[in-house]
Amino acid sequence: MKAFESYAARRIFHGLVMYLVMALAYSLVFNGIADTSLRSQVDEDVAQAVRASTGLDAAALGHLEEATRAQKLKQYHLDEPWVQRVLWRTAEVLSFHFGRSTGLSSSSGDREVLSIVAEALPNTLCLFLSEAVLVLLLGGALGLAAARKPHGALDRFSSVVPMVLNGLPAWWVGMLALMLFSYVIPLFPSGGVHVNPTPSGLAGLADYLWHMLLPLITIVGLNLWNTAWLIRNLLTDTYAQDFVKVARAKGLSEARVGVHVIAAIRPAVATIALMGLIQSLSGNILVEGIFAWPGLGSLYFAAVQQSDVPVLMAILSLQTALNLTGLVVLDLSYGLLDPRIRIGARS
Amino acid sequence: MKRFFRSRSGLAGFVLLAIFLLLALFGPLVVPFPGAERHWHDLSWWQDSPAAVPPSWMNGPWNGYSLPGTELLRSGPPRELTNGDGGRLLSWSFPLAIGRPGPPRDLVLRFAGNGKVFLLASLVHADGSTEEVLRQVQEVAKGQMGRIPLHVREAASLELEEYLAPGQARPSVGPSLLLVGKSSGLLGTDVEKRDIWTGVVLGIRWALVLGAVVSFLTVLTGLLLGTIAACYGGFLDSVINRVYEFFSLMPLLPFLIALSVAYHPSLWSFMALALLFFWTRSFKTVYARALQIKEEGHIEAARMMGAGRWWRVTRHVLPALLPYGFAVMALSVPGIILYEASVSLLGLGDSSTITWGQMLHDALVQGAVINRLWWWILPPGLSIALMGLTFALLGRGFDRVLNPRSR
Repeated sequence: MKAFESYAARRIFHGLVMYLVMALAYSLVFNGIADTSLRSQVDEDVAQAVRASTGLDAAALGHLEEATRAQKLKQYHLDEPWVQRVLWRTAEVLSFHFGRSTGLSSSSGDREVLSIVAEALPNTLCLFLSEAVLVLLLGGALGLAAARKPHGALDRFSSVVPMVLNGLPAWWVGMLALMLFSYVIPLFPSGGVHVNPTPSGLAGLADYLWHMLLPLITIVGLNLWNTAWLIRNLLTDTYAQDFVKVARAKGLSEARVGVHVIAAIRPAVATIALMGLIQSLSGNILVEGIFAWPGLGSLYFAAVQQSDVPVLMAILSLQTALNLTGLVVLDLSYGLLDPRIRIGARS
Repeated sequence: MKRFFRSRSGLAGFVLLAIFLLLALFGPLVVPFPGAERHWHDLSWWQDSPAAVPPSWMNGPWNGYSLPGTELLRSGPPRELTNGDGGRLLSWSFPLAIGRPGPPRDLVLRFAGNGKVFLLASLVHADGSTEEVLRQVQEVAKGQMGRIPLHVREAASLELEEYLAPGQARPSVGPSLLLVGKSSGLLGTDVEKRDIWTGVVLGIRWALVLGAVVSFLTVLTGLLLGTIAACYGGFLDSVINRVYEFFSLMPLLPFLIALSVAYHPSLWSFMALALLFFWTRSFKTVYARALQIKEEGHIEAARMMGAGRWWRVTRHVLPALLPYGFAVMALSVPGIILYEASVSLLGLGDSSTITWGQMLHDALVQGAVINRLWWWILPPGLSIALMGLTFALLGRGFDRVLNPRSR
């Protein structure tokens, strides 16, 4: 266990270094856009200060203009060389100080980046976490059913479907679903999270779920096949292994054999589940866009369009941190879940 | 190769690819608007087509032929009358059968001219009554065509008179009447009057070029880097692996979108970005495979016989990995096309080309979903899916041949 601990420490440290490098890279790539939008922000601030001042003569106004500009440039670190600005922004990202947005605001008018993100995050979580859970459950069930009769009708069908869906854009299916079930047959709302005005209490929750249903059905319907196929392959591969034959030869019941098989595929299933979880936290720009779902994806696209670098950096670094955490957790959990993997016990 | 064609998926993929290739090569021959590639965003080029109408095969007995296609009525020789002042009066009669039960269609009068054109048009109704619909003087330069839209609900025929001033030459082309249809072409038109079948066919070449070039280069890069990292080990190994980690951890689509907005997108810059990111998709498996291969007996034997590292890598490891590379190349094409479509859907595509993603972007922005214009949404998306399926089938075919275990 000592070896595992030192391995874990090294792995986590490595992950942190990686995060630092990536934060630096983002700051570097988006420095140009950030500068442009900050400079226009300075112009706006100065114009506002000039407008707000009354009873000044031209000279005093000029002085005020200059002073405000200098102060604002300093406030936004624009008077420093760009290298310093990149480093400063990296430090802000690393310490989770994303500051204030340059254009976007939360529904209460707040310009704090974290509160803007916090407003979008629950919507993304509700939709995509439900998706991840449903995909795992339904996909698992389907995979199990397909593996029970290899080369049966269901097995063949579920091997062809992922190939067909492989190149299919989920957002396009979303467009079709919206057209069919919202405009041709008006079964579902055409987008958003609530009708207007928003009902309160339990009715509000029901309304929210009703809005979530069409996007949820669409993405679950598309994604469950891949999971099913993975689990089906895992199961058939494991059932073909020698230890299963030994267990059967020993006269163990099929149920007991099943327990052993499940123990063997546990790490892989954990990987699938974790990957689904991580993806669900990042949201999906296009699917959210089609269904007008106000989650992280929609927020990100709005930030990109308005060159709102603070919001953009916050979401990108959040997603990167999630990806990284996922990888580290996976690496560490392999050692714990799979007895065959012994870390540190190198010869 | 024989085994590839014997596998059903390989054969199906090959047939689909052949169809796509033929359409990409001979596209201009099978589309009704061959010059569309250069004029896709030039809306005046499309002005004679109807806007947002369904495919012409939607017109049939089931709807009482209420969705007729576009027709052009050319004029015959005019009746000519000489006026007292030396001017001439030309007149034509266009037989129309517009009326119930078919809903009204748009009429466009087209005419040539040398300078001022005096026009007078009247409708003759079924009951013999006439109704003046046009009395206009229009300046038309020589060699140009004038266009006047007419709004006609019901008519048996249209009488057109043109007055030529004394000494004014008769234009070489007579006037014609365009009956803009309520259905058009194989796949209908979009809101901008563009023919969707033309767009879909012309989109093939970009999907193919993009998919083929990017997948070839990225898989090659992944193959080389994976082999180098595995075979040379040490410092090079860890550097390449760190770079791999860096690119594979980046949220790809968000990052591509942000870059496309910041730096003006073209298809080539998209390709460059894709090259930077997509090699990671084949790297890890190649790396693992190469680690195994380099420990295999025959390579160990080659080393014993004094083969240098370069020799072993180029003569033994890479050739062993190459066939696997083909399968990965085919399998990585759908993802690349999907990414281009996704970026284009957000309006960040290269506007000098026609791609399926851009068609879907137009459809989304211009209300195809709300207005239920299914013929605008279905074909580009199905093409993306079909192209994806083609390469998935090809990849599977390769895999069957190369990987005996999966047979």
